[in-house]
Amino acid sequence: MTDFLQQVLNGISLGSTYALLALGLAIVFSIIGLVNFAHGELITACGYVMFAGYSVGLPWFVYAGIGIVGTVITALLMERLAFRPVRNASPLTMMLTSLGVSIMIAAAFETFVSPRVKAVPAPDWISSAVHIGGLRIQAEHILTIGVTAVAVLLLLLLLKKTTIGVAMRAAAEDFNAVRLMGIKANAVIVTAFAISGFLAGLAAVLILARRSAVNPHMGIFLGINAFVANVIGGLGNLWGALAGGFVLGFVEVALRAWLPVNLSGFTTGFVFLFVAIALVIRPGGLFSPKVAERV
Amino acid sequence: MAVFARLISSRFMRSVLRTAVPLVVVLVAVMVVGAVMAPDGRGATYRLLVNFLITVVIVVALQMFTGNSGIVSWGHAAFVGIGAYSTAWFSVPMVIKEDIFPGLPAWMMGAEWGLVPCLLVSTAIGALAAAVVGLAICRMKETAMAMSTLGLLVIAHGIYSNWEGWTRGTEGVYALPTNTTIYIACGFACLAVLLAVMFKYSRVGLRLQASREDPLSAESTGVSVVRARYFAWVASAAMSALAGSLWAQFNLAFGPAQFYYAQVFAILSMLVIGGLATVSGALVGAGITTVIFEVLRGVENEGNLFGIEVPQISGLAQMILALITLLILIFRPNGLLAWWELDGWIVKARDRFWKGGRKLAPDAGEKGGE
Repeated sequence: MTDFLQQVLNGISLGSTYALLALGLAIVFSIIGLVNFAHGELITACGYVMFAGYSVGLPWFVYAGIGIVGTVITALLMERLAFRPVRNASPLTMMLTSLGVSIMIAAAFETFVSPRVKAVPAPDWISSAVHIGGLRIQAEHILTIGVTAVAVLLLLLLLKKTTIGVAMRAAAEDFNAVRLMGIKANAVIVTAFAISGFLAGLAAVLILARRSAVNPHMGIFLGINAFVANVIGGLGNLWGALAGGFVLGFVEVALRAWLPVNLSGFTTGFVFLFVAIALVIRPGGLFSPKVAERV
Repeated sequence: MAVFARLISSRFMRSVLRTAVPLVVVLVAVMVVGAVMAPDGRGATYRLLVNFLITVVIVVALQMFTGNSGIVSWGHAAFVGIGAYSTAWFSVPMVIKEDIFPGLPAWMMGAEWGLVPCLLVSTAIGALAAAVVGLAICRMKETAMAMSTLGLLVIAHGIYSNWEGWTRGTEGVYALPTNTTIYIACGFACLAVLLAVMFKYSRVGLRLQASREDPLSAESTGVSVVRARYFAWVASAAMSALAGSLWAQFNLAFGPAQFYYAQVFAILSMLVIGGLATVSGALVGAGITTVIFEVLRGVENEGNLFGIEVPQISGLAQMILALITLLILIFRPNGLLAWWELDGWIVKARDRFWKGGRKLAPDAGEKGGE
């Protein structure tokens, strides 16, 4: 039982990180229909900004903060330089553009920094733990879950209470109507990218607190996991993305804990297999409302 | 004979030949260059040209699916891998096989087959795998389908890296026989181009292109989008497996890392650079990318670009390729060739040359798109 609860805790913690990533991806997708494969590279970028901060001797809180700011800036640059020119192109072109951005950022870090792992140490208190009835609760778990809860609440407030938030929700339904109401398209899209960068930055800080190291290719599969979480929840559906992130976290933790050792190499494979089966049963995603497509 | 004459003069075959002949000419020219420069079948240039011809088969296979259906497939590298591994199972000498593939059943252990049986069995295994996977994948919506092919890539990579008894895991496979020569590679590249052009102009190909432009209206005019996608999926996967077999019998040693993310991006870039919609685009993209990679490899080794010192770096080639792909996507989103096959461009150029820049003759190329 304790073992099970421990795994549930791990699942919530990992799921929170995926949920943050998936939400950022979903916000952008819901507004401009772009599946941003370069979303994971925001994590890599955050990692390298933090590495730079660490190298000049800043304390953790400061370089984590700079890392998040750097991630937001990276997201805005991506939007301005790569995605704005192809905004009106086909979804296929946009997807390939984001793939190109992803590869280019990873290769740039490999070329200009180093192909090797760089250390981004987290403070010691993060790995400290309290034991409650055999359950081991780490500060990192509490931090992850707390930060995710606060971030989701803030996002909710933004979407419900501010003009730009309402405009963003409306843009997900009908972008042209939003523009006719006098809201600038660029303002909505730039805000979406800023939010997605901010959430990715938070996730990156949490991930790096766990891993304590950054390498040029760490983002790719995290980004793909965010995409998978979105597909599980139904693409473009924010609550679906959140739930999908948690489902993915639980599935991964469960497979890692209970898969026989000689099959452990297949963990990622099984995760994808699970998602594929889910998609065969519900092609629109697990949490998508049943809506007929408008023609 | 009369039947043959009628087939050749049919509208379908005229279109096919008009498009395929210039491409075949290009491929044969590449072969002739290779055969003249390296009659003994050795040397860097020879290797480059043969690998280029095999790459053409891979990219053309992907074009058959992605180009006509408009759905990105990440999974084709997995099928190239299936072709390569199946070839290894049936062609590596028995003495070595006992060492590197201890899991193989006895009848496969003894197999030391030649080029043609290996190609056939690899293609069959690839087609079979695609036929099974496709039953699930082709029923999905477009974005889910792209995601599932990505899942396929990850699962296949997991299998190649962990199924020790059959794949030797991450250590990789070696000791395949050299069976692919430049003539064979060229033959199959021409065959691939011909099949892809025939597919493009065939009924099922046209249906698939209709579904690319608008799946709902295609469906509403009676096109079975799922069936068209399934056919293209299996055919192009089989062709990818064939290419994998050719590749394995030329490069002789490989591991799971050869069929993964970086390769998928390289293949997709080739397709995007040349233009997704045309078979010629696949060929042009493969050519340009091969040249870029070759120049950059020179730069990386020499550490010298037009006299400017460049430090020795590893990700440079990928970065430049990504940059070029992005520039093409931004400034020429339909690729260099856009909607016209090579024959359309030849007509265009000829008209411009003779008639001083009058516009394209109305029947010179089929305008797809909008």
